[in-house]
Amino acid sequence: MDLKLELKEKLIDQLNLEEVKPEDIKDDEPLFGEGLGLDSIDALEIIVILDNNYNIKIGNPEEARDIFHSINTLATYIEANQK
Amino acid sequence: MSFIAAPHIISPLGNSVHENFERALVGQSALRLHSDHPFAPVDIPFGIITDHERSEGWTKLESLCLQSCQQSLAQLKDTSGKWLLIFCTTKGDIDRLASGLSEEVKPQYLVQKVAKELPIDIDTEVVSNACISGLLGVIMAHDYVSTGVYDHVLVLGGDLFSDFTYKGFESFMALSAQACKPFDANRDGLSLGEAVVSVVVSDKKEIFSQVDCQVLGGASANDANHISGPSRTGEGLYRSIQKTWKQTGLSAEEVDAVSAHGTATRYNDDMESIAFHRAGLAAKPINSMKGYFGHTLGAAGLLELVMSMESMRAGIFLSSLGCEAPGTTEEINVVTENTPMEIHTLLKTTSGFGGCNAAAIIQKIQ
Amino acid sequence: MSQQVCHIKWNADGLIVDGQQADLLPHEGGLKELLAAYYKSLGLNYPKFHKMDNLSKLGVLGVAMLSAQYDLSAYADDAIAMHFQNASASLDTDWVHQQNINEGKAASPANFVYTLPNIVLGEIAIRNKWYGENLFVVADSFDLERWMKTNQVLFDQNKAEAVLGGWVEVLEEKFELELYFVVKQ
Repeated sequence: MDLKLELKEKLIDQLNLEEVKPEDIKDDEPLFGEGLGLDSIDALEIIVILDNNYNIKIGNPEEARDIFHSINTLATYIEANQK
Repeated sequence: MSFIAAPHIISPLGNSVHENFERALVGQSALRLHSDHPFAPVDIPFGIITDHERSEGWTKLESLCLQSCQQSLAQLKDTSGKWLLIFCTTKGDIDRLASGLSEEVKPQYLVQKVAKELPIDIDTEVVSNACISGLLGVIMAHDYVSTGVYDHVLVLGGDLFSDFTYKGFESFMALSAQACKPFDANRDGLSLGEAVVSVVVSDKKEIFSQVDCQVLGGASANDANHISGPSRTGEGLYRSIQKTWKQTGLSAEEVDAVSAHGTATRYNDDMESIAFHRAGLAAKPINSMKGYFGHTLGAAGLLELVMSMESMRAGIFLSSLGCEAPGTTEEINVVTENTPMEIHTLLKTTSGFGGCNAAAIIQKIQ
Repeated sequence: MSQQVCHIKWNADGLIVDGQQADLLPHEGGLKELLAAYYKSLGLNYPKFHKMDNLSKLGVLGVAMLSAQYDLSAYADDAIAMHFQNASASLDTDWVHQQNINEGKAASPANFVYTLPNIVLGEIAIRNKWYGENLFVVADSFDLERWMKTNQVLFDQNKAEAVLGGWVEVLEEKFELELYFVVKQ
């Protein structure tokens, strides 16, 4: 499956975004604040998703800020760092 | 108005208020590495009570709670009247959950078990309101005795270091790898500790063999903003302080010192600085005691209130151990050295998950 | 003195709002699906709802039903105290966190944040923008008289114009909401 679509489905499932469909999330749209409206708990949960699914460890939520900007930035980071 | 006295503290620093205060005065901290603990990671400091007595058939928390209540009651001259025991805790004996859901894991089971062993008839109540529980218990106690619902309230705060809370705070990335640095510019998270504390609140001064302080009143307020993220405007903490002025008829000018929550997470301490600034308290001496004990969760507010009572008696405001160079969004007067001073009126504040905040004022009896 | 102006009782036997009894909404599955059915029927449009644990959902839905029945908007944003009680604290959610630990899995931060019973108060406060007094008490069963006694203390101490709360209990599939709105006289 396309990594970006897979990410969208994982976010919807793990972050309980029940009223959102994968096609509602634009690849370059901000995930936090405006856009999808995720919050600090979601950020921590995405860190767990990356660890469980892609074996990627992020040690501090501050460094996650740029990586978690959008589906595009997240996918780029996973492709570069997946083990 | 109500009197507050007959305190007891059991923490890694000691088994009395006196021991705890004397050790804090010389800069000792409960936070240390534990190489032989069943689940604490060896490379992160925690404040764990390792030296304690435990009765047959009683858990560590049950034993310490009973001992602390007995120590408080032993300081009274007269125990007649209508009593309430308020147990303030976030998670009680939560590590019992590892072996499944049971009645024993519930905090009301613990407090009822303790109450049965006490030499007085006493009603029980459990306040479980995140990290404001301990202070909220004192505020409720004050309100109960002020309105005559009870004659005396024994307020008990207790939370232990558990695998449950450790794993949760770890997933929150809220733990510092070192001993926490409250209000420090380089703070990077909290440290977990444990304590069991008790105190008696009563409107009858004559029951105490020694009494130095009274509770003037307090209040709680919600941030109405986020369940875990501190408010960017410090709204709930600010409002709880404003409501405390209303409850007590005092204002910021009349406060000599503030015992803050100061968990040493970036956002919490910034939030407190904003609320204190808004409340006109930025210039007042402010401390956090998390560097001495770590964050003792539901017990924290009560622990720090009792330590503050001892500070008022001794005339020394404790340094915010761990804070070298204060640095928060708003500049506040964080005290980084033990400071001899007359503390007549003290504001105690706490904040917790669920957006809850509480504030209360205690005053020295002339 | 005080007066009870609205009362909701909701459990597996049905839903009673101010004496009007109704069957539970039809739903597939368990408590989660039942609460989702009420979310939909109330037309809440509050996506955060889906992130909550069942205890918070039950409280938030109950308050939404109550405020549809009785206008709470006349109260100042800090005039309503929230005073809730239950028997199982947050054990329903604690158990999920504990099972992760027992099975050696990573803890979920989104789950851990609900492992405190007073989070339901926070969720109600956030949704309604209420800054009032907070009190969560854990007790074996709901003693209405005692709950009212504590509310009277809040009134006598001039801490609230009204108290919203009561009993909000969830453990596994069992649930019980007994919600009151009490006004100071």
